[in-house]
Amino acid sequence: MAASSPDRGPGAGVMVEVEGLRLVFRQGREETLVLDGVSFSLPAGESLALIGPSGCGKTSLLYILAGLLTPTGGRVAVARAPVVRGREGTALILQDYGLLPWKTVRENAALGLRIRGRSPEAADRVLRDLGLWDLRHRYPAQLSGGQRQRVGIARALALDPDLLLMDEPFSALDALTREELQDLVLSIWRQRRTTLVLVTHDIAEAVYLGRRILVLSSRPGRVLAEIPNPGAGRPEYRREPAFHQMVNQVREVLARGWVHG
Amino acid sequence: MAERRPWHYLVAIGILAAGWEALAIALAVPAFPRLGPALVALWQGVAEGELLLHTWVSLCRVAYATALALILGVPLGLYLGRSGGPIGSVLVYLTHPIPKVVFLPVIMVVLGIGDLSKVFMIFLILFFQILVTVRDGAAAVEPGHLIAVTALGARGWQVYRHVVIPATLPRVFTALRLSTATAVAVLFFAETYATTHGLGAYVWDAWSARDYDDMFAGVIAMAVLGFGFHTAADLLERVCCPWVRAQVRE
Ligand SMILES: Nc1ncnc2c1ncn2[C@@H]1O[C@H](COP(=O)(O)OP(=O)(O)OP(=O)(O)O)[C@@H](O)[C@H]1O
Ligand SMILES: [Mg+2]
Repeated sequence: MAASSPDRGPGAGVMVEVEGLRLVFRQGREETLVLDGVSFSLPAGESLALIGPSGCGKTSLLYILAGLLTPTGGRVAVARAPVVRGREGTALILQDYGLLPWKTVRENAALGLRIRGRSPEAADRVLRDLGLWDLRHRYPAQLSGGQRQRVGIARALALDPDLLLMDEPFSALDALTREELQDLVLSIWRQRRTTLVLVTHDIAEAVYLGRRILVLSSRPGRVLAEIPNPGAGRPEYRREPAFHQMVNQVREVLARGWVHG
Repeated sequence: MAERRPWHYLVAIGILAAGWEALAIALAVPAFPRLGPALVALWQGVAEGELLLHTWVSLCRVAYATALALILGVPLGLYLGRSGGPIGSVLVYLTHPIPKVVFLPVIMVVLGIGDLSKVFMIFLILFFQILVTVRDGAAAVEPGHLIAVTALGARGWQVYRHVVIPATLPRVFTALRLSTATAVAVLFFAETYATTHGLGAYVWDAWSARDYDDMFAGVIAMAVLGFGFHTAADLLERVCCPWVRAQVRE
């Protein structure tokens, strides 16, 4: 598993650095503490799975990394620079609504390139790679859930990102399609060594794709544990006993967090 | 809703014609002619070109008013829906329910009794319909779509172009379809004064001459005009919003 390019290899330094992150939502007079003192760092080319109970601030954390939300306190750096909205190398994949219903598959895939004033060719290439070329004239409403998520992935890859943020991308899919797309993401990660941050509710998904697993407590989200998971990153992992042991370990940490949190 | 086919239209028109005939026979007054004479009058009016001229004049008035209402109503609605403050919202809230027709005397005094005041009257009614529809549509844009394009680096105008405008567009056509009947009704009203041209004038002239066949020829022409605008809005929507049909087919 050699790195494809020196600047993206694991030795290239830190891609994401979060320190003492705090997020407070204000609605009128009411204040909600959502994230409290979250810290972690992720080397370039690594993958991190974020798991935690509903409402603990996972999506918010991802939005902060994408520059869509400004934290109340703490420090966040992506590629050693303060986060900016619309950073060239950051791609975000959402669960639903990521695709625009009024654009065809091809237009959706090329959207990031168009917004940045770049040629849409790269999108066509990715569509072919992901087996979506024959569907390029369809609208999202004419696709299955799995195909839709593939298009979402294609749109992200068209930008050739170095940081891929995914928010429960496969939670609405059936088990078979979900595993197929997990394999797709894994192969993308292996080929491109894109730094990956994946939010998920699915423990098996976290263990399969996250070479580190960050477990958050219920709201306010605090880091319960950061579990190294070096076995992840290979397609065979799913069928190994170590995988199932890891799944159980994560499940236990989550359960403990829920009891005390 | 099932797909509409040509024979559905034929059957529906047949039902309408039968209803007309039944009503004419039941009423048995000269002011409500049978379908035959009305259609003959319609045919003669068209053949002589007179009715066509009146239809054309009316069509132009509604078309100008619609164009003006779109040009002003769509951008203002988009603005109010996305970034308009509370004052704009209250302004619309207060002015929208006012029946615009009551301003006709004022409009006549200010703009004269010619074409300008007629077009303006129709414009005023269409404008509010479109303004409110577009504003509500722009305000109801799916936040996930905004997040998606913002994450891709879209800003300002790009957000409008890729999300807000296409999300609102189908509603513009709905507003147009819903307001065509009102527009033609107001046109009829506005063509009762100070004009010798237009379908409204044609109907009133025939009425005062007690030429009821001609009068109904004018009524049919008005119905066709309304239907024409409706169909035009439909066709334009199909061209401009092809994804809407894709969604229905699912
Ligand atoms: N714009 C907002 N204003 C106020 N509160 C918000 C806002 N967005 C999110 N919240 C609150 O912040 C908390 C965290 O939300 P977030 O969406 O990040 O959670 P999550 O971990 O992604 O949950 P889930 O697993 O259900 O997706 C929730 O309690 C939510 O109600
Ligand atoms: Mg979430």
